[in-house]
Order: sequence, then structure tokens, then C-alpha cells
Amino acid sequence: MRSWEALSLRSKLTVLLFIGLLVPMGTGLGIVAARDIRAFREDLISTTSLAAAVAGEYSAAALAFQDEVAALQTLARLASLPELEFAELQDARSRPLASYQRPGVPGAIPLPALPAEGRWVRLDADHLNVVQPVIHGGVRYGSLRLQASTVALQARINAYLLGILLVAVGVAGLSLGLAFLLQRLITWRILALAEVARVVAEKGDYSVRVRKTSDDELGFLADTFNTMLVEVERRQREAQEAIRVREEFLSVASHELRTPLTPLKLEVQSLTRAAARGTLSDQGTGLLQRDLGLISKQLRRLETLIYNLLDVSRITSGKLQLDLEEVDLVALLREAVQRLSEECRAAGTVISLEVEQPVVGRWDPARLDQVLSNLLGNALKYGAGRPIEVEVGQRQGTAWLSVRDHGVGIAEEDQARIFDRFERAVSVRHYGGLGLGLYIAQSIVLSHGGHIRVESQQGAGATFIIELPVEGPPWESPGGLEPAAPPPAH
Amino acid sequence: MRSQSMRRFIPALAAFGLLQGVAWAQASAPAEAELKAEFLERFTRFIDWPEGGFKSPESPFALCLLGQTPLEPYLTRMARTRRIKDRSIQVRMLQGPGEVEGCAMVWIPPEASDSLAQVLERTAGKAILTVGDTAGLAERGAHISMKREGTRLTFDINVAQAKRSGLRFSSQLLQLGHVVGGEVPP
Repeated sequence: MRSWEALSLRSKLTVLLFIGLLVPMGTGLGIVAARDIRAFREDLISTTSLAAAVAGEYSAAALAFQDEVAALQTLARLASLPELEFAELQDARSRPLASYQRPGVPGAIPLPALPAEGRWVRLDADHLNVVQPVIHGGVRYGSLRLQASTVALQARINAYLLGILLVAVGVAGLSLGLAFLLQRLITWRILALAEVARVVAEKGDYSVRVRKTSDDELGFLADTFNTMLVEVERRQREAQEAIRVREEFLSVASHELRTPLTPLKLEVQSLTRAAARGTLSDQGTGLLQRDLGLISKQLRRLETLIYNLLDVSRITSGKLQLDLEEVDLVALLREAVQRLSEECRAAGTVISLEVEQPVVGRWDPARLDQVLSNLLGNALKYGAGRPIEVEVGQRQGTAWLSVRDHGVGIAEEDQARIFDRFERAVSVRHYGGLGLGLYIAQSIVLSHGGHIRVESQQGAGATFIIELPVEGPPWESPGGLEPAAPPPAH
Repeated sequence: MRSQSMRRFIPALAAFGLLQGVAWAQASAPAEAELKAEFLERFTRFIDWPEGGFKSPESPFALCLLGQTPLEPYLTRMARTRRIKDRSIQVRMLQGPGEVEGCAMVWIPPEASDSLAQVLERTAGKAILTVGDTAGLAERGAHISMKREGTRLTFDINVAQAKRSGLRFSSQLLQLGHVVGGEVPP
């Protein structure tokens, strides 16, 4: 079977067409030929037998009266049979009375001992022999033997077989032609498809397309192939984009991680030198405290960066765990604002808080604090020193919170992607940061069963709105259902 | 039926075969007589007698001899061993043409050829086969007359006479013999 599989499609088509056309045709021709050849033989046999029977009828008297002249006359009449070579009348004791030999042909061949009764016929390669008993009035007077040549019969059969052979050759040629047409129809187009695939594989060019020439199965194949190329091209573009984003992130991350290190190193070196000179105590408590405060600020910044990176890694691997408990969102918010009071003073920004009553729900306080810090930090960062308004409320089992600044705002086309990893709406050089804050904030809100959105216009500030179910994530209800993984962050 | 006739026929044929080679060449009288007797019997095989030609199904086949003939002993012997038209053979010696009544076949030897006219007169319109071996006998009105042609024994047949008598001659017999007496059957 391996050799069959190794054949080309064209060869297989040819073989199948050969079998499909030649086998029935061959069987049909074979049956017809066998029947016709048998009919040819029977034709000769019946013609000769009939002549023998008729001549035998008229030979009884000649045999009865041992009349050789009359017997010869009878035999001479048989000479009109074109195939007759030899004829002989024998009496009942097998003694020849008269015989006829056609001139120029070989004589009688010896015959075996014959049965006394009935006609005897033998057809061999070169001769037909018929021995007809001569009977009159119930008395057997002898027998008439006729020997005919089968040369003409053989010639007729050979001509017939030649005709059959020509038909078979014609059918074979026809099947070859059909196979060639089919090959043009199928394999040529498949090869065109393969050529396109080769270009794609060798040159990595996904922009080539297969030309569709028909609406049949091969046309469908071409369509599918082209669809696949479109999809591959899209994914390749996406992969390249992802690589570009990650490389940019790496450069930003290394820059961000290095930024706090330089002042940190300088402060530590200056303190080390002072300690070495023994002048550390001369600097005064205020200065020392300022230096240590700077060091711890840079350390916090580093710590935040590293935690953010760890959070991203947890979120992407689906390992963000929530520790749910009864939390007052308002209290969390007050703490966060309090924590930022120094930065507010430095930026000259006022955060106004509009709260009516506590908003309590089942949430993870540490994670929510991360979200609040990020939103407030962004508002400070991009708020251009203008006031920031924060509102908290609750309606129909959903807590909501909005943080509004009046800073640079976010262009409409950028609003969708600011929640993606390593994305930001503004340039890196100008603002710094890893671009991870909103991604982490959105992941935390989503893992609580809530959602986050932004309303903004370029240059007109931005409002980030969070909505959280007070019962906590619906898939982690107090009923104690098995905790499921939070939905994918993105 | 067939094997019976075969069994009856074979010894006769054996004798006949012997005659062919030896007796004919010598042309001796007894051999010639035996051959002619044999011919008489063979003629009956190729001639059919009309229905009612015999008195009853059991009636013998009356083979009548018009006067003394060398055929007589052979025919007598034949009458013991064979049958003609599935009837027993009865050989009758006739004293004269007046006694032909009741015969199926009349043999007219050369000595009796002068009385042919009387025989024909008596047999006219009756199914009685008249055979002789005198030259020109058939032309003169007998059904068959044997004659010698070289070494062969042949015979003439008067077909017109055969038609008148109601005897049906086989075409094979007509082919074998010489047809005389003018009229050829259609």
C-alpha cells in the first residue's frame, strides 16, 4: 500500500479511471468476445454438420448399391463448401467407398475409433471433422466424413480480437485523456495553493493571497486558506505589538527602578562619609531626619514599583486572592486622603470629600486601598494642581465612588486602552510611572464583581467612577460557595 | 427395431462385400445371380408400396419369379433370413403371366421377356413392381431393368410406369439409376 500512497494524485486518478473504465468495459468486451467466438465456431460446425446431414441422406442408396460413381457425384457436390478439405463415404464396415480431396490442401488427419451411432464432431486447432452416419429406413449403411479447414475461422476470430483490442486501446487512451483533464482541474490548482503556502513559509510574507478560480471545493479551500492567512497576519501583528509594548515597558521599568536608586545611593554615601568623618552628630537632628525621610521615601517608591510588578504577575497568572471582610469605604477613603495630605500640600491641590453616611460592604480593604491610592494619585499627578472632588454613595446594593480632577483629561480614543497593561495616555518622558496602576485597579474592581469606567474630554479633566456590589463578589457570596477564580482581568 | 434390422442385414452385407471384390471380377454366373438377388431386395428399401397394396398387415411380401431363374436359390435363402417392408418374404414360381395377381414384385428373367406385354397388361394400375435384366426392358414398360456397365451393375428406371402403378420411388434410387421411358416426374 505504501507504493500506492507514494503515487502522485495524477497517477492515482489515472489508475482509478483505468480501473473504473477498463474493468467494466473489459468484462463486457470479454463476455461479448467469448460469445461471438463461440458463435463463430458453432457457425462453422453447424454449416458443416448440416451439409454432412444432407449429403448423408442422399448417400444411402449409393452405399446400398455400392455405387462409387454416384457416391463421388454426391461428394463432388460438397466441394461447394468453401472450407471443405476432405470428404469420404465409408460403408458399414468402415471401408471407403469414395473420397474427395480438394486440390492443394493437406489431406485427411487420422481420427480415433468412433462410436457407431450418432453424429461425431471434433474441432481442433486446424481442422473440423464431422462424421455423419448414413441411415435409411432404420438401416445404417455407413458414414460420411467431412474435414473442413479452420483457417478462415481463425482469421475471422483474429480480426475480431484485433477489433476488441483496438476498442480497449481506445478506452485506455480516453481514460488517460480524462485523467489529464482531471489533473488540470484539481492538481494544478492544488499546486498553485502549495506555491502560495511555500511563499508564506519561506519569505514570511502573509500578505499574499490565493486566487480563487471557482466556487467548488477547491474554491472553498482557497477561501479558507486566505482566511487563515488573514488571521495569521493579524496575530503576527498583535504579537509584534505585544513585544514592542513589553520592550517599552522594560525600558520604562528599568528607568523607573533606577530613578529612586540614584538619590538613595547619594544620601547613603553622604551619611556614610559623615559617619566615617565622625561628623554625623554635627549635622543636627533636623538634617539627619530629612536625609532619612528622603531615603525612606525613595524606598517606598521602590517598594510600590516592586509590589505593582508582583501584582501584575499575580493577576496575569490568576492568583489574585481577596481577603473579604466588612469594610467602610468612606473610612478607607479618608485614610487614603490623609496619607496623601503632604503630596497635596506640595502640589497645592485640595481634595474635597462629599460623604453622607458610611458605605459598608464585604470587600478586601488592602486591595481597595490600592485602588483608591491609585485613583487619587493619578488625580494628583495629572490634575495640574486644580481641586479634586471625591464622592461616595450607595444605591440598590451597589456602592459607588467617583474621583474628578480638572487636569489634562484623556482623549476619547485613548480611554479604552488606559486600563490595559503598560499603557498610558500621555508620554513616558513627561510623567514617568510604569503604566500599571489602572490595570491593577481595574483587575481588583473586577475581581470584586464591580466595574470601573472613565468620563473625560481632552483638556477638561477626568472622572473615574467605580461601582462595587456591597455583598462582595457574587461568586464568593457568604453562602460559602466554592471560591472561583476572578474573571480574566482583560 | 433398428438394431434388429441391423442384425439381419450385417451377414448379408458381409457376403455382398466379398462378392464385390472377387465375384464381380470373375463374373461367374452364381455370383452374378446372387448380386442381382441382393439388388432386388435393395430396390424394395427405396420403393414404397401404396396403402392397401397388401391384403392385410400380416400378408407376406410375394416375390414372384416368371419362370426358371438362377436367382431362385438366393431368394429362397433370403426369404428364410430376412423381411421386406417388415413382412415375411414368400417366393412364388409363376407358370405364366396370368398368375401375377397377388404379387408385390415380379422378376422377369430373359427367357420370359417375350411375355412382358402380357405381364404389363395384367399388372397395369396395380402396385406390382416389375423387374428384369434384359436389355431395353424398362424402355418397353417394366419398372426396372438391370444391366452391366463395365464391372458395375446398374439399372434403368421407367418413371412414367412407376407413377402409373402407384409405387413411390425414392429420389435416391432415381438418382442412382438411369431414368428411361420418356416422361420425367416433376
